[in-house]
Amino acid sequence: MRALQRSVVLCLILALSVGLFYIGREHQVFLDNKTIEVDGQSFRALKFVKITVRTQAGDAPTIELMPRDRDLAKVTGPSFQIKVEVMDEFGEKVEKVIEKDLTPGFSKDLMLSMPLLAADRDDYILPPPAVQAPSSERDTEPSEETLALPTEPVPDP
Amino acid sequence: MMQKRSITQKLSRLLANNAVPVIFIFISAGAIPLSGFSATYLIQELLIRVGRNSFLILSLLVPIMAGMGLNFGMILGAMAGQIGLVFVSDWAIVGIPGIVLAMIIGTPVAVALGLLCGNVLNRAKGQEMVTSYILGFFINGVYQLVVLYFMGWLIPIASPSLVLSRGYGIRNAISLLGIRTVLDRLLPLRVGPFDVGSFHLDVVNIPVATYIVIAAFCFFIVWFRRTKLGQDMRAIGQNMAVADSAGIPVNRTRVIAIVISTVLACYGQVIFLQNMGTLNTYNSHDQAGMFSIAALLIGGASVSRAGIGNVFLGVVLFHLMFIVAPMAGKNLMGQAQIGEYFRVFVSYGIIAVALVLHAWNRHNERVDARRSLRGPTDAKAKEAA
Amino acid sequence: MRKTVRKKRQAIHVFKKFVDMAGWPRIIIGIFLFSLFMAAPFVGVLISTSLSNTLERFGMNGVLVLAMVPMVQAGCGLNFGLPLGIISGLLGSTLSIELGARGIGGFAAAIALSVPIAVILGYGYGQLLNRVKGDEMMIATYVGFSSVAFMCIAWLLLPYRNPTMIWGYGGSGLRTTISVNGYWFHVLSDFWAIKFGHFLFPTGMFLFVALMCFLIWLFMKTKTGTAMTAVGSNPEFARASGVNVDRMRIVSVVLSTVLGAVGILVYEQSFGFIQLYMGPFYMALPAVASILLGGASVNKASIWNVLVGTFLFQGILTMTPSVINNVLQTDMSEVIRIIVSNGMILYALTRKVQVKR
Repeated sequence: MRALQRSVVLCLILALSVGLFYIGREHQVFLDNKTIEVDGQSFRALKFVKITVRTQAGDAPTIELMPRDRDLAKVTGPSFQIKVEVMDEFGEKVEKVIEKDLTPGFSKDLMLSMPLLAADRDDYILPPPAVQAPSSERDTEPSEETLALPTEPVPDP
Repeated sequence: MMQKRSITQKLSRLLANNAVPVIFIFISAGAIPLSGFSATYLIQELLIRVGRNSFLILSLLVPIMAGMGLNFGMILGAMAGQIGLVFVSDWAIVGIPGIVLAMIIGTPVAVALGLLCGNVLNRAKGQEMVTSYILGFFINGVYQLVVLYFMGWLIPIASPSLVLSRGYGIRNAISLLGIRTVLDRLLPLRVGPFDVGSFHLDVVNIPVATYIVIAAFCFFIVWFRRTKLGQDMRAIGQNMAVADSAGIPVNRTRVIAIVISTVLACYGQVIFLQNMGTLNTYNSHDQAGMFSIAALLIGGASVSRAGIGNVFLGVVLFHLMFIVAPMAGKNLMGQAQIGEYFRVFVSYGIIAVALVLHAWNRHNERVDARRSLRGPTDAKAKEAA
Repeated sequence: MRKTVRKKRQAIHVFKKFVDMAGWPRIIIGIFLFSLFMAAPFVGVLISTSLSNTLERFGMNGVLVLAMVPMVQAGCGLNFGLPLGIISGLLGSTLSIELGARGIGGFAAAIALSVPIAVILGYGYGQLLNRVKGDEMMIATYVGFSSVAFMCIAWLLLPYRNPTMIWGYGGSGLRTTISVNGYWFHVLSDFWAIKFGHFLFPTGMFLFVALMCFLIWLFMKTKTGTAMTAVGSNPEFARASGVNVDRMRIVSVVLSTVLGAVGILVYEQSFGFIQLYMGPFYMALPAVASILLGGASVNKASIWNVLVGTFLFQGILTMTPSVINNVLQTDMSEVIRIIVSNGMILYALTRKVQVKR
């Protein structure tokens, strides 16, 4: 009986962990406005585009992209909405508004291609770009000083 | 004559028990004007630091209750919490879910380390403190082995921002941007500005959620003392032999006390680091242990007796000194470094003094007990000799 | 048939006796060290260099480890308060440089200056430890730590004048590391030093360590020494036979502190630098680990334990970085040092109680 109770509690905790993982995961959404070729067709970069990424937490600031721009929005949670306003090159007239619901769920990062979105295609979700290692400022191994124990130097040879 | 002695004893004991906080109140009273900090700054800093550190310090109470002294092995729990945080940052879990998940991951590690620590301490009864202290160093070595060599090699770590450029091992400093101060900001409360006579106080932010967690912990301690297990622990703390003959499973209860302390220290470290916002992979835990113990002792706790009041008095006094000492040192001596060394000296010195006082009291008690056993004539004879 | 069984039994018996005498940790560590030496040539590490490094570090640390013996023998536990002795040595060495004493005379001056300081500090420390019987080790640790932190302030404020020791550029206080080069660098190590190829034997340092060991051994044979051992092994019995327990303990603590002071001087003359501020902070742990590795327990230690333990410990510290790093291409020596030294102390602390019961 006790073993049963314990395994039930264990399962509950596991479920809770998975749930936390699901709702707490941060996704990096790369917003890409580069000319892209798919199926032999070329989709030109948009002249000017305004993107609003909305999660459960509320509105995120609007991101504006010029041709060949790529920007990054961080969203938390399993799903988010994206509103793309395709504008003319002066950023005055809205030519087209696209709204999408996206659910990255358990996966981590994703990239959205604006030209493909504007062309009403379904394959606008691209794999995220290879993550570059961060700048080398913290690229050092922990020095002996920061290790906790006796820092007895080796005698000079 | 008997009564007279007991009164003087009581008086000296009262002084011995409260000497440390009183001294610290005097030191702070002298150092605060010297530092030149404003009241608003000090109060804001204290509010943050009390919220940040109290949980860690509270985790020390249970082993003291069980008569096992200061649990220097609490850094084991802190390491477990840090392992949880490393995973959470690797998976990019942010916000409150990130903190809770870090705690959940840290728990089994902390339980395992706590079981190990408890069993080792059962083999070294009477030497618990020095043993748990060395055990902390030992597990620190194992922790470094795991984090510096196994993570990213045997244990998959995907995020390149965590792994050293050589391909394995975790970096020295990890930014916890995703979970930084999320608990503190969960229920924000702004108070002020106030004007009471010439005393002016600007707006201060109070991290309400953190304080609620700490209050819940305090209630847990109060409740726990009344449970069967808590009573058993206190009995063991009073006298292990008597408790054993009364049928209390001494070893098992002691292990449980250490496990509880380790797990709570794990949570405490997660709370501490969410406020700091940076994880110093290889020394955050070390400092946690030393500062927590020093703070508890400054609050007037002894090795065998500590309450919730000691925790809060201690954390306020300790951090007050911590904030003002470098500035006071700079303004007094022209060197901030003196103040810096002074606070290191005080942290260690206070632990030394508290340990000496405790051992001294115990020594005197033993002498008294021996004297009363021998009877008055013998004592007189000894005095004459 | 029966004969072979008996022979087997006898062999097992001899083996068991050997294990009992040497103890499993020493056997394991010894085999480990031996295999490191065996493996060294295959991974391109010169045995002569490693051996001479090991010997040099053995000499450097020998007296520091020896400083454990008197206190352990007198029942004061492991001397985690070694930093106190080290501080006396640091004061002596900085004073000797301040006075501009050079060569062997300078080294002698450093010893002469630090010993009185060590005696005074050790006396106070002993008085303290007599009041806290049973909790010596933990208190010693923190007395060591707080005295190091206190001296950090003192190094900043003490009125030293010698330009080789104080910060330039308008800073005040002593430097973090002070070179003894030009004062008494290698005065012991180079004395009668034997050199062939990469192998260097620091004869003078070894003679000095041997002299110290001999003096302690001699002291232990005197009336005071035997009384001290009696206090350590059975205080009640010692008291009953008229030994002043507290006085013996103080003598042992003073002796340990003085040895700590001399030990750090030997260390410095070989290493070439005086490390101030947080330098002495963790120096007690390797010394404690060494003597335990040598087979000492919390209440019993001999010169033999010092020699074996220092050789094994320093051997591992020298060999693991060179051999393991060549095999694994990483520097794991730090972690191995932490695990081995603290594991050793932990083993001793948990074993002592078992024997008692």
